[in-house]
Amino acid sequence: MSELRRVMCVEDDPDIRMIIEFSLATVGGYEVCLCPGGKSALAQAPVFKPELVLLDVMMPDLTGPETLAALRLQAGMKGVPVVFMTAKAMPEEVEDLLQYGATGVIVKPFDPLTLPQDILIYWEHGRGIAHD
Amino acid sequence: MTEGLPPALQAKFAALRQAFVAGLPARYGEIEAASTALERQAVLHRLCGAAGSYGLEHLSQCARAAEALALSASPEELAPALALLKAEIERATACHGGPGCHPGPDPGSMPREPWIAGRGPQ
Repeated sequence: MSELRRVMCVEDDPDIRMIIEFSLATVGGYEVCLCPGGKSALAQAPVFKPELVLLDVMMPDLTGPETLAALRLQAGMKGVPVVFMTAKAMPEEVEDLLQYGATGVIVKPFDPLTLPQDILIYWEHGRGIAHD
Repeated sequence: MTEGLPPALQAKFAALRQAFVAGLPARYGEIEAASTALERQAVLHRLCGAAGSYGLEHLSQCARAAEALALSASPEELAPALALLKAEIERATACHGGPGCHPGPDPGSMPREPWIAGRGPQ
């Protein structure tokens, strides 16, 4: 079984991008591509070839669901697990997000020390779906 | 929060948190300057997610409480929640984000509810 290496994080808040970079790159040792918005993610994805995408929901240029839909149209991105990150924690809001085809939802705030391990659950689950 | 990390990583996290805390007054300024309730809610929403992830759980909870009121409450009804948030920001900035100045649960025990498609909350 191969290992997760490349993680793309799409997040408009610079402070959250910094703590995600600390968590995933410095603590977790992943190769991380940080994107400040959906349009940036769409431009970077063909180059970076992420194996997992963490995607903020509320962003000014493209929303998370809009970005997810556009990513799915790109070559090689159809089976890549995408996980929404949101501070909206109500169960109905989470279920609504899953309807867009995400692998899962991480509710912010997250623990930067456990996030590197937590994302493996989504990656393995998403790969299982892609291989079914 | 970072006790299990090597000293170099603890220091890096502390520096990141100090930088975040230094920016909190500006964030509160954005809340005050918001021209619409929707804009104010968006700033509070981002603050909620960011503060908790930096280990400022109580501040995050204050932001979440204000966010919940931002769209529906009158300015008078929202004012107490914003006052609590402002006090928490002042508390954090007074000690520069250092350890021991943030009441609330240890972020390591933060309730996290990862949801996986088809499985629900884990």
